[in-house]
Amino acid sequence: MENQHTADLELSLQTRIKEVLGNSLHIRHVDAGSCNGCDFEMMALCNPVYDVQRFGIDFVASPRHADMLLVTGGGTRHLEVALQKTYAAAAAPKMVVAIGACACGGGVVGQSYANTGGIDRIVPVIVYVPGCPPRPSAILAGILLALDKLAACRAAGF
Amino acid sequence: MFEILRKIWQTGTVTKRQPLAEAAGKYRGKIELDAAKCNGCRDCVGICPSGALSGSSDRPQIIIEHHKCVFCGSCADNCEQRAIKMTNQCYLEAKDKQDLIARIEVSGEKCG
Ligand code: SF4
Ligand code: SF4
Ligand code: SF4
Repeated sequence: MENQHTADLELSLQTRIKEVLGNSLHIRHVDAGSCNGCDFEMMALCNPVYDVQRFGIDFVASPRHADMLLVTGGGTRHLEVALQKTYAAAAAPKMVVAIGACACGGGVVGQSYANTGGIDRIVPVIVYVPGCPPRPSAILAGILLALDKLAACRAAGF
Repeated sequence: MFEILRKIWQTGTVTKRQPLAEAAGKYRGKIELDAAKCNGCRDCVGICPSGALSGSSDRPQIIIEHHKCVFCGSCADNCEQRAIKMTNQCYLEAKDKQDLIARIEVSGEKCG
């Protein structure tokens, strides 16, 4: 019964994770100066409603354990170096997914002396998930798209 | 203890079988611009708090940068032509930022 319950998304997500990464997907969340709206939506992925841990996705504490960085916030001056260091510490393949309007293009904060206006100015981004904040399901769709892109990179020999 | 067990029993399963479901009808998602209705007055450009809308003064064109939009709905509320509306489309993820930028040619009689 449990298998039947989750069959739909398992097909698209869990098998995809197994294909691309071998086993499970570990994510490190990086806050690059967000208002916490996006962070709450992201953490909602672990609540009983979405429960992404059943698909083999887990949020880990160290970037060294992570395959993917979910970055929120527009990259403020204080957190620019932190983001660069986290990116350098992450295990390859380093997949960076920009979550929210701030991370994608500055959002309401825009680009200024204190805000980079999009984290793709600091680290390479593989998938953009717009929204302020995006719904948890939209974040999940972004993760799925990032796996596609990674598979394409692998096939091309990078 | 017994009370908690009773509540758990009453609540039942809340986990969504398919999390990638459509958003609620009233959800403010991607904006949609109807080029036929829009007259190019650019009120929406002025009101947008995140600079997601723009237009150049020499041609009747509105540029929507969906990755900057914060779904506030100000543009839809203030457009006198009712040319912009909010949809409940929430799946906007893209590999390339260029896919999120829409350039819409409008009729623009009043443009300028
Ligand atoms: S995109 Fe919106 S919710 Fe997310 S960090 Fe920026 S302001 Fe906050
Ligand atoms: S969408 Fe509405 S407010 Fe914006 S330029 Fe067109 S008519 Fe003017
Ligand atoms: S919904 Fe708000 S942020 Fe988005 S384009 Fe309209 S005014 Fe700008």
